[in-house]
Amino acid sequence: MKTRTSNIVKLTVLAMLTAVFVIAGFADKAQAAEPKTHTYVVDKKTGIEYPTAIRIYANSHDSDSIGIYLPNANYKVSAKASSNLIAKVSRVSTITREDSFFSGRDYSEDTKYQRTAGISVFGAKEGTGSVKFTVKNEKGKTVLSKSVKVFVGYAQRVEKATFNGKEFDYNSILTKKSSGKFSVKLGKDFSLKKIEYGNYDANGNMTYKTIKNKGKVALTSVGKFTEEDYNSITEDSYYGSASGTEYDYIYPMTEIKVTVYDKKLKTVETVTYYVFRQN
Amino acid sequence: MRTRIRIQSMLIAVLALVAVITMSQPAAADYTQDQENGVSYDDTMYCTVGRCQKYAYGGDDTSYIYMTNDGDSIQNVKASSPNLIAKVVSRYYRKYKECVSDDTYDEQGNYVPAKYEIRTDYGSTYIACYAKKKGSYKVTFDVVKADGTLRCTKTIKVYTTYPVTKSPIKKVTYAGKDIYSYYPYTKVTSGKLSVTMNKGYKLKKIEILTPGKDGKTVTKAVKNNKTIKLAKTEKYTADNYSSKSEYNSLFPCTDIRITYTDKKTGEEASYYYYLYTLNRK
Repeated sequence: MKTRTSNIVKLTVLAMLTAVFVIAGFADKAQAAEPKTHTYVVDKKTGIEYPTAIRIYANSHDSDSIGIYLPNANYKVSAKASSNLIAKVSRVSTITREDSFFSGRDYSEDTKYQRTAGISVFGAKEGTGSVKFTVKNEKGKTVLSKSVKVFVGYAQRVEKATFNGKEFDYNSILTKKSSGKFSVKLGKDFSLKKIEYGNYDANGNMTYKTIKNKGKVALTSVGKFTEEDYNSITEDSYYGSASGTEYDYIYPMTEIKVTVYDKKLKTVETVTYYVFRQN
Repeated sequence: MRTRIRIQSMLIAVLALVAVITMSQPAAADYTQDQENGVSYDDTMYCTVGRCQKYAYGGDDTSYIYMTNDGDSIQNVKASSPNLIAKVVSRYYRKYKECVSDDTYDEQGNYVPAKYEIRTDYGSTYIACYAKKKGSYKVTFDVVKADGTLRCTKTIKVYTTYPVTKSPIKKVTYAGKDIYSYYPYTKVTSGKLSVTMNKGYKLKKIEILTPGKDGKTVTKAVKNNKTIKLAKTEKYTADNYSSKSEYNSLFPCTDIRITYTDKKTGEEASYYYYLYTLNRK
């Protein structure tokens, strides 16, 4: 009897563990399938974070082109560029307060990074190159050495975007129609991931709808709405306050969000267009 | 941090571009402050005919109005012509619910419930415009007090084209070539700097600003047509609240500040030019 119980327990635990692993595995796969918006990776052994690839403009100053996050304040970074590029460690920052944080980072992650380094990369001409960076510890021993791919030149995300055949002007367009066909042609380094369009309702919430390229976009007629940030005013409260922003557009606006995939960096980006309904 | 870094470098690029553009154009919009009435606003707007944009706050086609008096709001926005549409496109509000009298009983012993009031304050308001035709327009708006009475009326000028004025500086050469030809960097670390002014402007002084070791800028006045030396390093340490940073720029920068006077108005102004060297170490 005793053994049977323990067998059941064992089996149950096994089944539960299997379920957990399967779910975790799926979750992992689902996460891996979601394209990233940046190329930063964390080296598992050292905890050093760095980008695997970057884009820079040709013949233009760019500081902090490559950011490196070091979990140890004694680590030193050096950089060496391929012959078509110039690279230099142009900034080294050390955290001086325990409770401090580098802007843009999660407060919870603060103490993880004691030091950050910025490598400036310059490329006179369009093309591809690489920058190899080496991290050494206080004894001068190499902790990590990696190569970062560098794509030099302006990367055109969108070659042409039209609404009812008319090209956008600074990502915006005016129309007297209540709907229209949105068409987009991307630059050679980019492929289309998704097109969504969004309209505000009177409560200031935007709802998005996914369409295909050359698909139909239904324009909103709502140009007046309120976006509430906060509200503690209730019918039976003695005191309370509320804040927000009231909008009353000249012409109601529909937003078209185009998600593009960068074939070189293997990342996604969003390009937004605005259609104003001139009624 | 990573996005911040990208944004920072992009910002620098944009600022550099803006700096170049502003060299040939006058300041876009002017900000007027009326302390007596507690109103400040952009008194000039520029908009392109037939163009509507997502409200680019701080953009030239909007006027940002800030009111300091509680309960003040903007009303009666009027355009001088039917060819211009102008209206309040957004305003930030704060509402306060306050109890103005508690629950009570009147003389007859009848229950009188408490009374509440909701007070609304509008601090920041944006007026935007849309031009159907080219022209110069005016937009007027009233600042109205909480009790509905008029506090003041203000006017915004609207143009559909930027006024083009000639740059006060005709040409700047360094080591015999146009200063712009040295971008992104130069190996010529010293050379003759010559400034030529346009008619109507007088060159007042030329200053060379180079980075010092302590992060402070070293300013040196030089005469026109004299040899200047460019910074070969830009190395400094900067402390801030949370971190200490050591910088060692790849492109040490030398600023050239040219100060001139407008012969007609006597007004003094400065323009900046930048020269970069390359420092691989």
